[in-house]
Amino acid sequence: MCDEKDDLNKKLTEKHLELEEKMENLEESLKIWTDAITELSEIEDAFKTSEKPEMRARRFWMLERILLNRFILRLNITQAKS
Amino acid sequence: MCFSQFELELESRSKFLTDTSIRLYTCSLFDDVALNRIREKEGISGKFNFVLVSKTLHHLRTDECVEEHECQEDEECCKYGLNEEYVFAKLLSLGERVIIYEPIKTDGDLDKTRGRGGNFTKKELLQVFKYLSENEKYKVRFIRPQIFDLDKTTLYRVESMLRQVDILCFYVEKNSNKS
Ligand SMILES: [Zn+2]
Ligand SMILES: [Zn+2]
Ligand SMILES: [Zn+2]
Ligand SMILES: [Zn+2]
Repeated sequence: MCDEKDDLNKKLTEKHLELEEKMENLEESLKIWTDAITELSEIEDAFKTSEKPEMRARRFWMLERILLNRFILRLNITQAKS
Repeated sequence: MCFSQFELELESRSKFLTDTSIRLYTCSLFDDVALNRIREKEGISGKFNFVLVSKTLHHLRTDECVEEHECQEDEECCKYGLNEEYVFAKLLSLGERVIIYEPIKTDGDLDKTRGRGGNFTKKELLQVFKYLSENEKYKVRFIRPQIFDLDKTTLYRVESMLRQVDILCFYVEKNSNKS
């Protein structure tokens, strides 16, 4: 009986560590993301096209550290009509 | 913080963008099967208008060391190459315009993993621009630090530009005039 309990404890501890690591990764990604979004204003000109603003693209992918974290971020944008 | 909270926080912090919705996926750019599954799930057909590669181009390296040395177990000093043709073809298959925002190597790269990662040196970047300018299938425009179109006649401007800045922004599109 006691062994079963130990086993369970061990499993829970492992799970806890696993989740904690996952959360750390997510927090790190969040930071990268918000940094990148802040920087978007610096590269606004890259999004300029000859099309009318309302025809302008609404969606883009943002790729971040893909090979490292195997992470792909997708951002759906709807531009406000001006 | 559960995953959906994480997404919510991202959305609320994306102040620069209006009416934004964000999905996060774990997938390699080069895993077509997984990528297609995501596209299907999100109902994405066709290309995106923009693909922004933010400080990430140097993570799209190959997995072969290009240094002339005997590779160590930890690959600490290793440097993988970049297959420009393959990477830009892949990115242009996802979006009409591929925007690259990329730092230039100064003191290294915190997320260097083995030979992968590691910010590009000026020499490596020059190679990328040489490749892009020599291929008429691309239309390339620099945004930062200066706005100008890259081609064979403007390539000479790149070297001095690389010396002056630590971050670059340019975009690549398929050239519709030539094939
Ligand atoms: Zn026991
Ligand atoms: Zn804890
Ligand atoms: Zn090596
Ligand atoms: Zn990096």
